[in-house]
Formats: sequence, structure tokens, C-alpha cells
Amino acid sequence: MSSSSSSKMIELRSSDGETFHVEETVVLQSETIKQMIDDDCANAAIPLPNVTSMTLAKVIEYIKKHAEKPKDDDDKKVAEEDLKKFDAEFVKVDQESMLFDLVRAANYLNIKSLLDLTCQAVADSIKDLSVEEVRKKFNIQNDFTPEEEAKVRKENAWAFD
Amino acid sequence: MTTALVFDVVEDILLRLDTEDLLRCKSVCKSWYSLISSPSFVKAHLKHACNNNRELPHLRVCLPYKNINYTLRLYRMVGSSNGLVCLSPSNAEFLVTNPSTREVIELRALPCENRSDLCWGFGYDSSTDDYKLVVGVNEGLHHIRFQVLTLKSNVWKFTEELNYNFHVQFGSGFGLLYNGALHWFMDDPNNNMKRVIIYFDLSSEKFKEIPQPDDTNYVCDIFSELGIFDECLCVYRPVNGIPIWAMKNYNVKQSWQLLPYDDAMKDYIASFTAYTLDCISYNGWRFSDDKGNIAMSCCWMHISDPVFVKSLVSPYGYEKPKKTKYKRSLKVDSSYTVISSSFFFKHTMSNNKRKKSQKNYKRNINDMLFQESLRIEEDIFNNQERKNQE
Repeated sequence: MSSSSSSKMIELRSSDGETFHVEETVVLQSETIKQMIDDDCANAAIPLPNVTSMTLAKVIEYIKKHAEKPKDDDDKKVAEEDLKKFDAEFVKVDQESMLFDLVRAANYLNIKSLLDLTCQAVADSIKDLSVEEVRKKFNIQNDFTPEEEAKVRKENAWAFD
Repeated sequence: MTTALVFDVVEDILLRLDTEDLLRCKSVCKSWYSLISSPSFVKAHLKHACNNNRELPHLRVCLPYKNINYTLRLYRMVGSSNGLVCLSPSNAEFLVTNPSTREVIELRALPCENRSDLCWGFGYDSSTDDYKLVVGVNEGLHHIRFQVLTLKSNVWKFTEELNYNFHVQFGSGFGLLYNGALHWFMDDPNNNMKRVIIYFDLSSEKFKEIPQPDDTNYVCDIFSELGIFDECLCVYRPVNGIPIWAMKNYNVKQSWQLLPYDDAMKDYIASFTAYTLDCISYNGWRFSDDKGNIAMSCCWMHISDPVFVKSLVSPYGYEKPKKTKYKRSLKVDSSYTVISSSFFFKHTMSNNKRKKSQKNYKRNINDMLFQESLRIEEDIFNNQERKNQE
């Protein structure tokens, strides 16, 4: 791409010390990084202590795809469809923990569309799960006493059928 | 194993869940319970559902049209807003239910004698964050007396008397909620009983008229109905279904348009779907389909049905009433018999009361007669005594 040579490159460093070079125009999708660049804190590599290299690679794959600009209106429709397909595939991750890592990264980096996409994917995966399954998925300790839990369940007993 | 997510991300995820999943998720842990129960979450969930559900303008709520127990048919739709549905079990009586949470509350009955010619509507007032039930009663031929009840107060208050008249037929007593206002057809006695569209702004509590098209093709008679089509207020005649006149820009006279009856319209009409309500035993109302999936009842008649969105909004305000509030809560096995039994219960109650009072009355009369006879006997005795003395 001709624009890539003219665009400034930003260096990102993951929690495990790996560095990634991404075009500034692409990385601006992250409000957190945009703020850092605006504050002139992006001259050296930007450390991202909350994001692993594996997650960061996925995030960069996402923002790169979403930075592509269609040439004309016909192309725009095709691109929209293409992007939908990409998003649907993107959240089909092998490991569930990866989806949660992406939610966390999207939240930390403040990338609204990625946060929406990944939160929706997690929400879809909870649908029709039992309470025990939800606890396991979110790694939540049940802090109700058996009496309290029975009472809470009784409030909407029909929803458990 | 995943590490815990920050709480605001959890909220962002839960906002996207269906109401039934959320009710179940309340028992995951204490923090989830208080989050899902909090008024701010309920509002955020509703907002998310309204903004992200593309089907929303097509989704309606209705009472079952057919194949139902007779007693259920006595219920009439008053309106729906933010997932709450207001129904009228009989004249001047009202209840508000959320079929997604199956909560129900009976409202204070309208202080008027058993009138059947009521026009009404139900909607949300954002300025007071409250729901309003608006009921009009014909006073003679030229006046309608309007009263408003707010859900938080549960008290009726007189609002305004309008110099119009309305007919309760073909469902025209039902006020259509659109753009924060309730809309009715009314007849103007000062203008040859011309049909006018009157709206009541739920925030300002003021009545105003909506201008109608000047077009010679435009017909508005007793068969005309108000509805929502393509997110616009519309006027149509259910006798032939078409034509549909839509007001593209709300309250702008020039924006009325006669919609062409083409394939696009047919498709749009076919896309209307409605949640059908069903009555259950002791805790009120639910969707006729247990999971709250949309019943496949595609029909152009839904144009006038209230737009519906599933929500966690509570009909109680934010406080649950004590159990004693359910006057008509009878626990009986079959769902339909409950309504009928509670219905008959009520009537037999009043009959019993009447019988009782009749009995009391008779007893009182007897007592009186007895006392009277005693008094007479006494008098006779006294008189005789007197005579004897003489």
C-alpha cells in the first residue's frame, strides 16, 4: 500500500515483552492509545502490561481489518458484508479464555466496536446456560448461603424450567 | 480457567441477555443479583434492547384473538410501554403486568360507576420517570372527562374536560402510544362531528390536535384506525386494509403520504409479529409461548397493536408490594379457571355479600317488627291496665 510508507508507525509492547509495529491510522481505533499519542507519550514503544502477545496479535488483526477503506459505494457494500463475515469468524476462538482475554483487551484499549463484538459473543455463549455453568465460565464463587440461593431461585422459579 | 472480568465489562455483557436469562443469572452471586436488580441496570438493559433490536417497530403485543377461554376475552388491551402491559379486566378496573418477569399489580379502580364507554391509553413519561394511565369518560354528547393515574402514586386525578366525543367501537377507545403521546380519533361536535386526531402529551399533560391530510383521496370515517407503520403514525381502514396514510414527519401536515400498495408494503405487513399474552394462575401474565418467543401470527391487524419490547421494568415502581395486595390471587391448577374462578369468586362474593346484607336487612326488619309488636303488646297491656284501673 502506498499510504503505509507515509503513515507513521507506532510500536506496541505486550505484557510478555513482544513488540508490534502498527500504523498510527490503524491504532487510533484504540481510544486509550489515541490519548497517549495526543499526550505525546508514544515516542517510544507503548507498554501494554495488561495484554499478552497472543491477544495483542488478535487485536491488531481486528483493527487492521476494520481500518480498510472501501474505494467506492459498490465496493462499500461488498466490504460491509466482508467485514460482517470477518467479525463472525473472529469471535469463533478455540479457547474460551481467549474470548475473555479479548473482552479485557478491548476494554483496556477502549476499542468500542471490538468490545461490542466480544461482549455480544460472550452473551450469546451464556444463553440458556445453567447457573452453575455460568459460574464456571466466569470463574465466580457462589457467595450465597444455600438458604439465600433457594430464596433467590424461588423468586423466579419458572425461569429455571 | 479465566480470571474475573472487571465489573463494568460484566455489565456490558449482561445488558445483551434476554430477560429470562437475566432472571436466572440473578442467582449466580450476590454482586450479579444486586446488579441485575438495580434500577439503573434495568434502564440500561431497556435502552440497549430499544437501540439494538432492528425488529422492534414490527414487534407488537396483543391478547389472543381466538381459541381462548371466554373469560380471557373479557380482558381488553389498554396499552404497552417499555415492556409493561396495561390491561382492563372489566369496566373501570386496570392491571399492569410485565409478562417477561410475570409481575402484576392491580391499580386503583377508576372512580366512576361501571362505565363501559371509556377511552384509554398507557405510556411512559420521561419527565417524571413514571408510567401514566389515562382514561376518558363521555359526559353527555359533547364532553369527555379525562383522569390520569400515575403508577408510582396509584391515585386518580382529574386532568381536563374536552369538548369532543368518542365512539367505543372497532377498538377506537384505545389510545395509540407514539412519540411520548397517546392518540385517539374523536368527533368534534362544533364541526359537524368531524373526526379529528387528538393527542395527549404524557409529559405536559396537554391535549392537542394532529392535522390531517387535505387530499381528496383521504377518507376518515368510523372505520378508520390509527396505527404505527414504518415507524410513522398512520391512518388506515381495517375494512379493506389499504390504503395506509402515513405521517412521515410527526405533527407536520404536509408530510402525510398515501403509501403505495406494492410488494414492499406486503413484505412489511408480513413482517409484523406479536407476542401473545396468556394468563397464568397466581402470578399473573406470561407470553403464550413459554419462552417468550414471538408467536407466528403475522397479520396486518397488528398495525394498531402496541409496540413491545421485553424488559425487566417492574410494575411496582421499585418496591415489591406485600403479598396481601393480590386480592384476586387464587391458587388453582388450571390457568384459565383461575381467572374465571377469581372472576366468579368476585361476583359470588358480591352476591354473597348482597345475600348477607339482605339477610341482615330481613333480620333487622324482623327485629323491628318484633320490637314493634312488643311495643304494641305493651301498649295494649298498658291500656288494659289503665282501663282496669278506671
